[in-house]
Amino acid sequence: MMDMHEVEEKLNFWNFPTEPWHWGSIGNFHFDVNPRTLIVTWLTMLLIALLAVLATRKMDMKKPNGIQVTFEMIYDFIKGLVSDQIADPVKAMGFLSIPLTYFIFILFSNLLGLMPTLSSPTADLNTTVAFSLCTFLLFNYYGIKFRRGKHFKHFLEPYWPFLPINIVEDLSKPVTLSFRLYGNIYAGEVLILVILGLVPPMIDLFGGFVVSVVWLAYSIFVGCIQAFLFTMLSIVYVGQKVSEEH
Amino acid sequence: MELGAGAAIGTALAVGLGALGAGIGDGLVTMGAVQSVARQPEARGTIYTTMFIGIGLIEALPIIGVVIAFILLGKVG
Repeated sequence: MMDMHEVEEKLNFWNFPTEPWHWGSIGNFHFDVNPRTLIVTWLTMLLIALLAVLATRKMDMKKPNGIQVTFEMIYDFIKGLVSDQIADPVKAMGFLSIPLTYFIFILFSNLLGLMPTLSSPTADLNTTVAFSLCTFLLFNYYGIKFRRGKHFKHFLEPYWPFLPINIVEDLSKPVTLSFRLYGNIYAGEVLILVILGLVPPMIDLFGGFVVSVVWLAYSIFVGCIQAFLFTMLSIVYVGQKVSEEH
Repeated sequence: MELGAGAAIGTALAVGLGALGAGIGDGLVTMGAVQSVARQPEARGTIYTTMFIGIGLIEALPIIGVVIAFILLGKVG
């Protein structure tokens, strides 16, 4: 039986630096950067760019090749989700690129953490909070842009004592978005470490994906579900602020 | 009570109670989904999608409890 931290040290095959880099501080606020998350984020971006280039090299409308069909399926899927929530096609097309980016990036990053010696970019709270702050700024921006003053009048609906409830609801949206994604992916990674630690020779022999096959399969499922859920909730939040009804 | 003992009890309580809540919630959602599919099999795709959204939303707070349990696990012993 090995401890979680010993397993983590043994799995550090690429020798990522484990301690955060301190880039200075303003008063009590420290600018720390996790180098492992940075490196894996760049790796994810490289992978997505590589797949996109491979998909569009010989683009053909009549006879699409394999990767192009996959990207078109993802695009159609997200477009269906957006058109269900936002009725106006002009606003929907303007908004479409952001959920598409969310979905592809979060899906790739969740699945990258299941590779034997790598970790997910979304297993770090900084990445998920960045995404949810983007969504928060986004639905406020779209609310103000398309509905001017009525966006703020919404806080007083249906009666004015509802003001604290509406404020808490608006503030809890980015918090729960970020913590849901972070918790699911980080807990999955820690459990991979714990299961590896149960039988020590597994780590040296196979980088360990023999015993933990069941947990890795469930983590693939959870990664796909969480990517879809983040995208869906972002679309729903923006759709609520932009819709013409009530 | 020492810090290690309190942390151990806290870890187990966080994960256990969170799992209880998640189990009951997911069971209710799946019950509704299965009844809806039995009543109208043509809407199977929409019902599955809504069910997964419901499960993802429900499991958010127990998962936060598990992360807190991992933080506490480092303080044991």
